[in-house]
Amino acid sequence: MKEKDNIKNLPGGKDKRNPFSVPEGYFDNFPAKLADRIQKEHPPEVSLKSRLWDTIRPQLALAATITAFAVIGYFGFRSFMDTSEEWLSDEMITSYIEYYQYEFSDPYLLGLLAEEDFDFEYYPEDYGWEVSDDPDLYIDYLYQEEVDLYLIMTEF
Amino acid sequence: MQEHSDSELLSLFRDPGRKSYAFNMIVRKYQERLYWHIRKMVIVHDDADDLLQNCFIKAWKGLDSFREESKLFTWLYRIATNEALSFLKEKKRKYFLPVVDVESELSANLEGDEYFDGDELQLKLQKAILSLPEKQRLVFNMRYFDEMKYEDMAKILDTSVGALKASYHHAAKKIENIIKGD
Repeated sequence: MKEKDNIKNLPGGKDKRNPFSVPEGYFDNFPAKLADRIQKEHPPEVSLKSRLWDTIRPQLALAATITAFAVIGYFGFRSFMDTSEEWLSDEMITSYIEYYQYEFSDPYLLGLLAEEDFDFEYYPEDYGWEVSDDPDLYIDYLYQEEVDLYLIMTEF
Repeated sequence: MQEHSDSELLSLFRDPGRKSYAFNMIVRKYQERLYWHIRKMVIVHDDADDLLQNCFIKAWKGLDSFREESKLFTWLYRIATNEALSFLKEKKRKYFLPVVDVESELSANLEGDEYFDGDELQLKLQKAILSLPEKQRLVFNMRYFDEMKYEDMAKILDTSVGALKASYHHAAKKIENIIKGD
């Protein structure tokens, strides 16, 4: 009879104990289980920018490495090849000439040029010397200077 | 652990660096209520577990576009309800079973369920509830066991308070008659 009364009063009654149960620790473990499933089925979306960056990053790294090697190689080779010569800037050359300009005399310069086997044209007029078309004058000069005519003829 | 409000959790969820943390908090906050809501509809624990996971996966995918026009709780309950109803509908379609047979199957599952701890009276009550049409069963469970307000139920089930009151009244009357008939 008591059971009948309880049944009659069930909707809105007091005995509303949940008759279902779950495996032990189910609610403690559920968030982790769900997170695993989400990670597998729906990995976080990567933006287009990130994907593009991920794609080109290895190529960029390779290009940067090659460029670095090329630059190092170029300067290394140049440095190796230039050990016997000193590289002077235009300013340094100008200063050097300005400093030594009074040290240079014509004979000194001619001597230097002759030493360096430098090909140059010699114009006596540039030095204020008179030039004559009379060959006898030259022969007399060479005779006075005791230059061997035979030697001149064989050389020229 | 401190329980955050729904708006705090939603703000956290929108922060890309704390999205997973916020979602974990949401799951912890609502998992039990949603589980029992689903379980009372589908009876078997494994089915309820699958559906609860599906429910939260849909929430994970949809929360970015959730505009807080309804409460988070209402939105999640609606997803869970749809999952449970879709599952039962699919079950009927898959096995070409008429409604009565699915309910008989659920009733049989209840008797053999290792995770049903109810006494004879509670078993009778659950069987009576299973004899109700699905939507009436839903209304009865939400009102009777969860003691949910009709206003909240109306938002979840997208129906009027008056219709829900009538539905609950009919359901209670039927259950009473079924139990009396035993």
